Amino acid sequence: MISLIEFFRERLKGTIIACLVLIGIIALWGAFMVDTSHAHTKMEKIPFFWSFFGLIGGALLILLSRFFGRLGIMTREDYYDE
Amino acid sequence: MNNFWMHPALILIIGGLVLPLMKGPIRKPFLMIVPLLTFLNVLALDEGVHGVVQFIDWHLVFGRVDNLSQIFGYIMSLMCIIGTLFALNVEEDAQHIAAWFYVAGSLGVIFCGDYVVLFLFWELMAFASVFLVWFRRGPQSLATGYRYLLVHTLGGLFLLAGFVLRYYNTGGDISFVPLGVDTPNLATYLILMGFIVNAAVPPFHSWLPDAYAEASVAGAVFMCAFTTKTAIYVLARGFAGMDILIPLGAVMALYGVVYGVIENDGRRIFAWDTVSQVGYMVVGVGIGSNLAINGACAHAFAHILYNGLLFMGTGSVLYMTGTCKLNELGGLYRKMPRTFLFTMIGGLSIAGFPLFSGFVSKSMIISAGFESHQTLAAFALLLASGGTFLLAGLKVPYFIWFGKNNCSSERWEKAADPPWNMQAAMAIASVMCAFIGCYTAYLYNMLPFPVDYHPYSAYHLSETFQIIGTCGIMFFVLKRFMEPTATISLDLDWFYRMAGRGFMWIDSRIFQFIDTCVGEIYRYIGLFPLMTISRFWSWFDWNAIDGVVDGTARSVRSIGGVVRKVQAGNLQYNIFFAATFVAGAVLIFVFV
Repeated sequence: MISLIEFFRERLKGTIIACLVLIGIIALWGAFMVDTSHAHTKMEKIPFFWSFFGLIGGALLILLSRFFGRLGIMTREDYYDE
Repeated sequence: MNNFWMHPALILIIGGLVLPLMKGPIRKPFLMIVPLLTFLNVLALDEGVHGVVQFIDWHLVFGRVDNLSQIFGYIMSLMCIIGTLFALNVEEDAQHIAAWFYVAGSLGVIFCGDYVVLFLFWELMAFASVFLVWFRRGPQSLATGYRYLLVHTLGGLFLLAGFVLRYYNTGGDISFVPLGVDTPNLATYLILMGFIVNAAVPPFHSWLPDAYAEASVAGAVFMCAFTTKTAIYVLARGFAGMDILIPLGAVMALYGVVYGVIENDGRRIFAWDTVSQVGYMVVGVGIGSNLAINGACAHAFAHILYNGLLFMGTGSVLYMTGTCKLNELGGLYRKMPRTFLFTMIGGLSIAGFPLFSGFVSKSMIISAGFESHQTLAAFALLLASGGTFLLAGLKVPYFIWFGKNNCSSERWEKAADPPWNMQAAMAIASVMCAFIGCYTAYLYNMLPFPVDYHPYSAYHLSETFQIIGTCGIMFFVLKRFMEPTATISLDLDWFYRMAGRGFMWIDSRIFQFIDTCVGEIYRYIGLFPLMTISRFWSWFDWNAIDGVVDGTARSVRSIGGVVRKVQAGNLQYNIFFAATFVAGAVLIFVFV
């Protein structure tokens, strides 16, 4: 287990590229090869719809959460100890 | 009872009461036998109504066994086995007893047929589970436990008010059956509020991350499984098709993710994930179609296993290193590789990764959402699914097992995979997560309605892989915004915490001031005159009354003293004084 993890960590760049290529292939497969006749909405038929959904959604969740946290929601650990 | 029928909850209650008598080598086997017997008992239950008890004018039903109660009873009792195995090294009997009574409460609710029995077991759950928080014995445990108890007492009061009102409205009906969700009245809303407090639906959700993150290592494993899923069961039983639950559940699903992103404590992140995942089930109940209710049940089943696994994984980190804060950990894959593997399986399951349990359960609810034209809610759940992968699949594993090593040297030395029983429990839960994801018939055949759903379609696979893959890219691109910081996140519990503090301030300042004023006024108006009068009467008593009495006494004493001197015992003096006295008397007699 540890050696397997270290195998990939030692080849981090290659691992990242392999993951990106895999995601790209899946996006291409989803956009052009998968039957979208069972899609629930029209917008789902736009090529790479779910890839954009994931990218934009993921970015929004991270950035808006952080922004929300910085509004004063994230506070020091001893806040309630006073 | 009409005939012999053993309630599964009774096995746990009796087991809990007998446990303190079990010492030495029989204790651990006994700990495993009791939940195992409970599980076998649940498996052996026949459909129908059992355990009917006549009480006053009511027929109390302890055992309503049907498709819906069976699947929940099955997974609850199975999780009791896994949780007890995980807690096998806990020497404290009371912790096991609290956990078993808690599960007994859950099973009691699941198999009840009326509101009286439901309320009885509902409260048993709350009062047993709070001990799992208190047994952590941390600096915050006591206060957290009391907050947890207060919130659940409030929920219990809603429920009690609701079913009492319904009892009068219906002329004495206490049966727990589907409520009229199309024409809800005050009683319906009160019962609903009682249920959604336990389901952690906003704004009643804050107790969940508060309590789960503060519970004992083993206690959190039990707590994460039973309260919210029992609430989902009662919602599915009573409120299927209640529209208001759809937006509430969708908000829950995203709310939990947002708070999870900014949270630092591993167990608290999974507590927020629990809020998010229960949101899926709430949406499913709100939709109310057969597919949606199946989805809610399937997701509850899957969630109990993978959520238990995640809390076991992070609980193991807490148990072995003393902390679960992400900013104090990192690089632990070298020290806790098996815990990493199990937690990762839990993370992939909760994220709905293909071949794991979440994939075959949550997709049913999302499909039901689209089929019922709840498009916005369905997209919200899909977005929450991506967010869940960010948290459980990436953030927690990365910052605990990879990333920068922030462990102190002492913590690093202590870190190791946990004892065998904890690993075994995690291994069983991991296998179950993968088994459910791969062999869907196992779960689908237990669902309350016939299933015509196939999750492994090319479209669903492509959709899931794309969302998860691209969210993964965004995690590494925006990782600096996910870096854990030594912070806590303020939530709606701020209001009641501050209200409590405000009450204490008002009590210690204003009421204390009023109390002091009243005391001073009493002192000057009441006490001072009283004391003055008392002093006068004391003086009068001393100088007037006692003066007369004491004066007489003193006079008598003085005369006595003189007489005493006269009677000195010398005969010549006595004759002299007597003769003088007689002569004086004769003279007075002769001349006067």
